Amino acid sequence: MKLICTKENLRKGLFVVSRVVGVGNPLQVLNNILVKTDQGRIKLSSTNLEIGVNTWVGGKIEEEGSLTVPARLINEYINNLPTEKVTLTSKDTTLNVEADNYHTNIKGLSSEDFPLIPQVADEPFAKIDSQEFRDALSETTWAAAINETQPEISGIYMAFEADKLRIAATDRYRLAERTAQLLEPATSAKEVIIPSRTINELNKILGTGKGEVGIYFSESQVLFKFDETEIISRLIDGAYPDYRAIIPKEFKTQATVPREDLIHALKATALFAPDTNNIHLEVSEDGVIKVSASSAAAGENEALVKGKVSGIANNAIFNFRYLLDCLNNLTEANVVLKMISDASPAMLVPEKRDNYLYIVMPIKV
Amino acid sequence: MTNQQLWQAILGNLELTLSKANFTTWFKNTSIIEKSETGIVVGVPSAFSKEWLQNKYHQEILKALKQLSPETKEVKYQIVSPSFMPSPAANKEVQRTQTARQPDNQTLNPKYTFNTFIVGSNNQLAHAASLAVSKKPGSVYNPLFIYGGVGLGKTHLMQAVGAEVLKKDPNAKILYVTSEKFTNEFVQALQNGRTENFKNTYRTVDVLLVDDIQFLAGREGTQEEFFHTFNALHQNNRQVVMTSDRLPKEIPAIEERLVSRFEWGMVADIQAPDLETRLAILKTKAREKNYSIEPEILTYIAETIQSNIRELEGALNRLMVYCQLNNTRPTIEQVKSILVNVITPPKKRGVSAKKIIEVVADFYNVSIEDLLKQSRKKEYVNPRQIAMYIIRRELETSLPSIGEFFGGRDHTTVIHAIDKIERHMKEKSNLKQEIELIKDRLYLT
Repeated sequence: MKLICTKENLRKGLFVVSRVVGVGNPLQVLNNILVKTDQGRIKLSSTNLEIGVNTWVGGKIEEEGSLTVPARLINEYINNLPTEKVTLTSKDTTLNVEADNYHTNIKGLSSEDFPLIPQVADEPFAKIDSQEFRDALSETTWAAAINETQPEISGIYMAFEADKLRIAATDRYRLAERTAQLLEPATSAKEVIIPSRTINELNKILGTGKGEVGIYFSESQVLFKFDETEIISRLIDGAYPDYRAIIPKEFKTQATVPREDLIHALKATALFAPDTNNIHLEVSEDGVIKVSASSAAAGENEALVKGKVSGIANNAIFNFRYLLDCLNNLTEANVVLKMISDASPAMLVPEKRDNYLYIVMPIKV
Repeated sequence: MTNQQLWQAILGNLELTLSKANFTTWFKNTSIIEKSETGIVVGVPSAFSKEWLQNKYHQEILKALKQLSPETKEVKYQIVSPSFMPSPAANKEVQRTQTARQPDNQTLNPKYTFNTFIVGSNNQLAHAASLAVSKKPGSVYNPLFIYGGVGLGKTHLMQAVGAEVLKKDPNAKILYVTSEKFTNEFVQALQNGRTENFKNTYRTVDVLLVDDIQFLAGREGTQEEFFHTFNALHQNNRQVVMTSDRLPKEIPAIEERLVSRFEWGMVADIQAPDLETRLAILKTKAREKNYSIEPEILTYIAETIQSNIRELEGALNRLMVYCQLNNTRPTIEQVKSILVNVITPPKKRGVSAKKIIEVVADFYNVSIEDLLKQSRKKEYVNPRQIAMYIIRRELETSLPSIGEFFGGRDHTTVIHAIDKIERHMKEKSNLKQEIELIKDRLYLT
C-alpha cells in the first residue's frame, strides 16, 4: 500500500474513528485502526465490536493495500505533524509515515485479523437534516439511565412515524422527548432503542459538518451515514417503557420564566444543598418563583426569579441537576414550568415551541 | 450427543488452532440453537461475530463438525439476543424485582428452619430472641447478635429467622452472607469501581444476616463499610442479625463504634447443649433419617460427645452407614469401636507447642514474639499464660520445658500461670469459652 494524503484530511478521518476502539479487549487488533485503499480513496475503520465506524478521506493512491495501526499512536502522531502532506507506505506489518523532515515507522498488525464490520441494507430507511438531528439529540440523550442494569432505558428510544422522528430518553425519574422532522417520510413505522454510546459518537461526528443523515436498518443493527462517515451499531433488544402514559395532560400551575435567570438561581442555590441536591421551588400567584435550599453544614439560601404565573400557587422539591440538565440544553429565552402538586410529575417546555417536553419527578421527603 | 456437547466438542477442536484472544472474543456466548439432519444453526451474540464466523472461521467450524458428525454439511449463523428481555412495560417491574430477589433469598438453606431447631436450656434465650425477631423484623431486637462455639447452631438459628420472615412475606428481601463474602464483594466492588451497586444491594434489603462477624477483625476498610451499611439499615428499621464465636467486645481489632452497635439490640449466647438436649437432638436426627436405634446407644453417644452438635450428627451418620453396610444392629460394644475415631479423635495429630502459640497469638491478635519475649504488659501476659495452660493440658509437656519454650522462664512461672488460668476459668465463664474456642481452632485447622 502506498498513498499520499493531506494531513488535514487524514486528521479529520482519524478524529472520527479513533475513539471507537476496543480498549481492554484481549484481541489486540481492536485497538487498531484499519487503513485501506478503497476505489481511489482512503478508508479508515475502527470498531469495539459493539459500534463500528467507517470513514473515507480523499488522497492519491499509488499502490492498493491495507494495514492496521494502533489508534492512539497514529492519531496523536498525525495531530502533531506540522507538515501539509503525508505519505503512507506499508511494508509487511509496518507503516512508514513520511512527512518532510519526519520519518517514522509504526508497528501495526495484519488487516487479515481486523473484524469485518457488518453490512447494512442499501436503501435508507429514513433521512434527516444533520442540524435538526443534532439539536434533537442534544436535548434528549443525557436523560437516559447510566446504569445498564435495565438495558432498555440505558439507550435512546427512536420512533419513526411518517415524517416525524420521536426521540425519547428516561431514567425513570425524568424523561426528555423531542419530535424531529424527517426530510421525507420513513418507509414504514418503526421503534428502536439505540445504545447511548452510539448516539454520543454520532453526536460528535454530526458536529463536524452539515448535511443529510441517512438512517439504515438491518437485523439488529442500525447504520447512520453522514458525509463520508458510517457509524454502525447494535440495537438494544427489548421494549421501551410506554412512557406516554405518564405524561400528565393537565397542570394546575404554569410559570413562564427567563431561562438564564432560573439557571443562575438554581446554580447559586445548589451550593446550599451539597449532600442531597434537593432544592425547593415555590411558585406564587403573583409571579415570583422562590428557589431555596438549606443544609446543616452550609447554611441556607433563597433566590427569587420573576416570571408570569397562571393558575394556583404551588411548590415542590427537585434535584437541581435534573432541572439544570434540561435548562442548559435549551436555547430559548423563556421556559415554561408546569406543575400539579408536590408529588406529581412537573413539566419543563421551551416557550413557543411544541416539539419538546421534559418531565421530572419531584422528590418526596 | 446433545447440541451443547456437540458445540463444546467443536469449540474444543477450534481452541487448539486459535489464539486465546481470538477464541474468547469470537466464540464467547455462542451455542447451537438448532440442529437438523443436514445442518446446524449457530447462535451468535452480535452481527460482528456473525460476520466473522461466517467469513473467517466457517471452514474450520465445518471441518470440526464433519469429524464429529459426518452427516451434517451445513452451518448457518443467527444473531440471538444474549438475554431474555421482558416485553410489556407493565410486567417489567414485577419481572425485575423477582429476578433481583431470588438469588438473594436462595442463599438460605431450606433445612434451617425453626421447626428443625431443638431448644434446650443452653440455647433458650437465643431461640426466643430469634423467634421474636422473625415475627417482627426490625422492631424488637435490632440488631440481634448470637454468639457461641463451633457447631452449636448459630447459622441454623440465623437462617431460620430469614426463612420465617420469607414464609410470611415471600417478597421480603433477605440477604445471608458470611462476613468473608461481604469483604470479598466489597473489595471486588472497589476494584471494579462499582461501589454504587454494592451499596444498593446491601442497603436495600429487609433482613441482613451476617455470619461469623468476627472475621471482620483487622479489616478496617470493610469495617467502615459495614458500619455504614449497618447504620443505613438500622435507621430504616431493617433487621440485622449477626453471629460470632464470641462476645462483641472480645473480638480483637474491631472498632469501638461497631462493638457498641453490636451490643445495641440483643446479645444472646448459645452454650454447648446439656445431656438431655443432646439426646433430644440425636433422637430427632434419627427420626428424620428413619433410623431406629436403641435408646441406650443414643445415650452413649450423647454422653461421650459433649460439645459439638455437628460431631454428634457425624457420629450418628457413621453408625448408620456402618450398620447398613454390614446389615447388623449394633451392640454397645460395637458402637464403641465404630465411634472410637469420632469420640476420641486423634487429637494430638499435628499439634505442637508452636502451633498452640500461633493459634493463641492469632486469636488475641498479638504477635508470636510478643508472647515469647519478656514484656509484662497485660495484653501479652494473659495470652501467654493461656498458651502455657493449653500446652500443659493438651501436650502434657513438662513444666521446665514449657518455661524454656517461653524464652527461658522459670518453671514456677509456668505453675503460677496454669494455676491462675484454672482459677479464673472457674470464676469467669467467658474465659472458659475462649479457651474452648482456641482448642476448636487448634484441631480444626
